Amino acid sequence: MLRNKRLSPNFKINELSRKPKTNPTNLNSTLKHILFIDADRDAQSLFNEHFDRDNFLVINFNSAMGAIQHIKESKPVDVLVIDEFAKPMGAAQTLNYLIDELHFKGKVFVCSVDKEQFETDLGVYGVLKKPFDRDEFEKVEALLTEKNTAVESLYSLDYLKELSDGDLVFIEQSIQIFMDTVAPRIEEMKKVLASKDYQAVAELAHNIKPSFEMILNTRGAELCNFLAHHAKPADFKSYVEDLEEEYVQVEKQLKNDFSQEQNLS
Amino acid sequence: MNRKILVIEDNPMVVKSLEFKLKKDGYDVVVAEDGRTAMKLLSEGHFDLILTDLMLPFISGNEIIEFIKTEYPNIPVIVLSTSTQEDIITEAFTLGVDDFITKPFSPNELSLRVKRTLAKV
Repeated sequence: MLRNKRLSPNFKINELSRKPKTNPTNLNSTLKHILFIDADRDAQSLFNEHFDRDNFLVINFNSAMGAIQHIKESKPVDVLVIDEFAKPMGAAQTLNYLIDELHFKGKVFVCSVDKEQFETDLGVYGVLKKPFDRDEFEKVEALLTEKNTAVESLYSLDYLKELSDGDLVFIEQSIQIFMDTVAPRIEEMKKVLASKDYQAVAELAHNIKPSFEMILNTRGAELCNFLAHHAKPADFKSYVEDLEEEYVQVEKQLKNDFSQEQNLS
Repeated sequence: MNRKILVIEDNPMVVKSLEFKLKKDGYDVVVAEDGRTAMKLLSEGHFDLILTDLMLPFISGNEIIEFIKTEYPNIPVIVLSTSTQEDIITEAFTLGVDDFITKPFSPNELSLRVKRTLAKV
């Protein structure tokens, strides 16, 4: 309702926040998890470089064991990409295990130097020819972006990825901290606002502003900045409402994207 | 022995990030979520560098900086703040801070500035 409210021209959002909020190829679930199993560092590097964008999270494994554990723990997988000779069992045996024992039904690409096709009863969607070129990665991207409508992404993990070199545990913990700490502070804001303690509202807004910035949610950060430095008494109520509304939307998207993660409530 | 950094910051996400990055860079990190805790920690142990926010519970960042510069003049201080307001930055420098980093920090910039500040000690 209040999304288009004009904010002060004085706002200077940190350069790190200057990211597009909408990706036209977004999926219904905004973050796509790609498990990449290949011990070849060059292959990992090329693959990661290609998918180093909003909405893709590549989780690398040097052997299939880590990926099996990931799937066992019911963590999210949108597509699994595995080298034909992935250790310790190779792609075929790994996929057999995943399908028979873990009832894995996800889409799979196998990376191969010489094969054009793989057994379809293994659930293989396609083959990525090695050595890789970027056209091969487009196949994965096309699968992940098909049959979906554009959805506005309210956050991005780019900053957290950059900070941690893609450390998934760190990213998950940071998202959990975001959800555990921002909501109570917004509740506190509403409480102090009821007693017209505008200074306390401003301080709380100042405190949570970096949390929005770190997930590159520009609107949340702008609202916090306004509340912290520019708001007049008459402004506070509607801006706190806007901030809460933004938070609720972000939280909904985060919970949706990380819904299968065991440690995210 | 690793250099020891005291982080005075009350945003848990920022704390987590600073701890992660600084530990990765090989430093020991101790966190104080407010000024009172920071003063207590300073009286209990030696620190090679202090990274502090300017808006903190109980005691303001500038009061902390004044305290540090009086009691521990040899410990360099880098201010971490969301504020881009010139007067606040100027005041912090007047109090003797060694550097200023805006949150959310650029990971490489943080590494470089910490390294550079410690090299001066």
